[in-house]
Amino acid sequence: MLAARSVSRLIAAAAAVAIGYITGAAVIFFGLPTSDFFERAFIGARAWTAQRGGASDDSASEPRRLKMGAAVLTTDVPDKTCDAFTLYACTDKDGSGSEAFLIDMRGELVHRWQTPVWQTRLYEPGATDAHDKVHNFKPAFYGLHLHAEGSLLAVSHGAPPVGGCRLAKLDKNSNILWQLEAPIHHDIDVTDDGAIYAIEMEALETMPSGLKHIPAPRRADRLVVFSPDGKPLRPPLSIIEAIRNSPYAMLLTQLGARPVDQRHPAQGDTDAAAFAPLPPGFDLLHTNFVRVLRSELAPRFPAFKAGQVLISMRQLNTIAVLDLDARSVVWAASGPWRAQHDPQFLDNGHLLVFDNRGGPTGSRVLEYDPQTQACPWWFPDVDGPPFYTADRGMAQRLPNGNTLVVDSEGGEVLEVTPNREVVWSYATGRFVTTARRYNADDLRFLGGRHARP
Amino acid sequence: MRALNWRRHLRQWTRALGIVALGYVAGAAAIFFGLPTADFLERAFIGGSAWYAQKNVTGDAPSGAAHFTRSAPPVDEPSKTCDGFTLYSCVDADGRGGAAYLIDMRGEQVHRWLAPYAGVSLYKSVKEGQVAKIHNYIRGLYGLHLDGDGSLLAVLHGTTPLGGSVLIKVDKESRLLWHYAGPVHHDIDVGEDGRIYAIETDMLATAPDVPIAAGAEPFSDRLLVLSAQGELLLPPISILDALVHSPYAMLVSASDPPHDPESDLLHTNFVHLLRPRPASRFRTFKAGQVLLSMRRINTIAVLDIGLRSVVWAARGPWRGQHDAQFLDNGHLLIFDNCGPPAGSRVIEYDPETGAFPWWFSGTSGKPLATIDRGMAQRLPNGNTLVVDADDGELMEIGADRRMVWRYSTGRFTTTARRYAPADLKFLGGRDARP
Repeated sequence: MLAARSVSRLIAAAAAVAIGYITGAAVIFFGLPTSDFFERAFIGARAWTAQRGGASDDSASEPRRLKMGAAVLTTDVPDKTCDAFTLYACTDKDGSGSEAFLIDMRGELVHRWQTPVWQTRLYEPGATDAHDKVHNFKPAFYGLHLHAEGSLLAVSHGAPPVGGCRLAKLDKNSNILWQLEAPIHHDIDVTDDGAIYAIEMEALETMPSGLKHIPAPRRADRLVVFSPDGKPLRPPLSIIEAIRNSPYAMLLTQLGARPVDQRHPAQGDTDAAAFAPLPPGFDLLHTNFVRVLRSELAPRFPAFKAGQVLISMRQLNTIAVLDLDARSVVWAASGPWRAQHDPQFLDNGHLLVFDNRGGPTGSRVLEYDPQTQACPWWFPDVDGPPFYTADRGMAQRLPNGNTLVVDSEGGEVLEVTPNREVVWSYATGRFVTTARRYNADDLRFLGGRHARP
Repeated sequence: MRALNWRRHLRQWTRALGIVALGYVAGAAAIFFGLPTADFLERAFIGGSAWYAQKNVTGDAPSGAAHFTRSAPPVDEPSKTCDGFTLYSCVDADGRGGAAYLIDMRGEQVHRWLAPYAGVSLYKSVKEGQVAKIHNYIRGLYGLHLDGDGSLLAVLHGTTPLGGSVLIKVDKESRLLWHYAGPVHHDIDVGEDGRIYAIETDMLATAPDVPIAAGAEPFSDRLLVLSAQGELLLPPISILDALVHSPYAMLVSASDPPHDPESDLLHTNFVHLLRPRPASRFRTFKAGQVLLSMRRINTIAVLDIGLRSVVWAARGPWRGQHDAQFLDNGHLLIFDNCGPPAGSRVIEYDPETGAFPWWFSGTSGKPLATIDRGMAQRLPNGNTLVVDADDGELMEIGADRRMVWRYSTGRFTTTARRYAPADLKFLGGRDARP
């Protein structure tokens, strides 16, 4: 009798614990009231544990030898490099990494920005224009833009499966100046007048007219332009509609029920994904980079006008130039590249494209002439060691003609000469989401510091 | 005594059998190695098999209305079609198809050519600068060109695994006029001066200094310029060299897997000459240059014969494409077999801007899908003849993408082209729509 009663009591207690447990989990999962509080507490606790373990460092502004990961300068040929500071960010295995680093040519840390996870708000596109806030504890810096006074525009992505993304501006000391309540992703460009060009994800419950052959719901992208303080300057431009309105609309016939084939057989990519039906909410375009044509470069591109915007759409294997006033694509190309990133205007009238999966042995950087479709330069050489990064990857042509190459999955940033000689390399030991060189003259906040002390 | 007899008989029989066996081996070797008498025997065998084949098959195209009701329903909107005669050829499941047919707009057979067997060997490149005769009796007609007098240029392909190919010319009565003793394959074009532009397989002694995707064999193609009588007019032009020594060298390799394991480096499948009239509409190209389609590397390229170099090339959204050609409006027409994510399409492409002013990807009920071959031809009234090779359908499509004419061959259709009645004098002014 007694035993029976204590058993039933135990069961009741266990049931109560279970109910509480489930409720707590649901609160966090669904972002119900009190979840913010718990989130902050948990994040704080995790940071405290991490600090006790000595994984983090103390000062954000004090220069010191970089010790995190296995970051190390592996090549440096001083008389052949184009000396400047390198801004980069990377992620850990779990996809988190809200830190950006500025290093000099010797690999010394010059400055660092970081946003505490609990201050980072990430968003997914909502069914209406109201965006959904997501509770993702693993944000990482992707697109970055560094201003002369040390403030940093940063796009953050949350690691899958939760996802989410945002754009924020941090000051030199990593204080958040503003952050937008919108799913801004991948990359930004900033013009001389401070206008910010960004890519925002949109949820399409139904397809626009003329595109009804594409199953809905799907996700696509729109181009958005903000003032330096984050206020919208133009109505958003739907990229899928800009293609539909152009003589390049044929490219959208690719957007049927299956993803565009981007396998790389030489790298052992499986073709399973290529033949699986698209899930609802699939990201149709995967726009991943945006570059504004500056007025000083425009004369080099007879077919384009200053203020037009070069974008890269990974899903379409296509790069395109948008005219924001005409709200139309004015030029597009699906050249030899596959799943490309980071196309940009060069001052010789060519484009530079990071080709992730189009090479016979791996990834490559291509210089592409949009007038003749020729490829005057590429890296690596035919007989050079191949590298492969299925995701991300970047390239930047430097003032002396060298090219900065970002091997994201290899965790390496390389500087190569026109003869394809590697004259500088820096191994981060992690997935590099972004890396750009900045001239010392463009970074006043460093107070005239030398890039090669 | 009896046992002795039996033994003697056995010895005699064994000896006879041994001799027969020796002869058998020698005969087989003669054919196999192409030793003396092989040609004679081959002709005899081919004659025999052709005789047998002809005895058993009529070789006629299925004719007229009867055929129209057989497979895909007929389509014919007489007020919207661009009337002419359609030359086509197809192969059966074995890859056999030695006949070319000319039909009118009602699908009635107007003329027929049978590719001769006798005296026509196939060729294969076996070593750099060396070709071998291939004894492949299973052949189909591929690239065709019909002259006004009814004579026909035809590229013959032997089926795998033996392969081999050849270029022949026959007269109106299908009598062999000449053949070019080399592995000419896929397609030909003919200039107004009668010069013939052809593609020939070219084995490479050494692998080229370019990254080659896994699985690619060191085979390439060269461009031939032949006289109207089939004589070589210029040293053959290596298409690989022309590409590698151009600003388009980077296109020589692709990450895509080969469409078939025996694919060569380029798999050049079409050649089209830029004639003087449309040449004025192309800012960057000149009359006399040729447009090539290289399926293996998803690339189309313009080659200058005088410079022996590629002067322009493009890789676009198309994959495994065929039949790239110059249009009168300064654009190109391309049959895109495997453009992602699935299915085929015919696309008009502006080489200056990269735009696609027109495309056709099938009707709403039936998407276009042919992995191999496929052709397209812009007609004088702006319609487009589309060849769905796999399904054996010839379709005439209006600028509004509506189908105005369809003829079903019921077999894999290797080639089809519309000819204006005025260009076919041998028909004596016959009406294309009687």
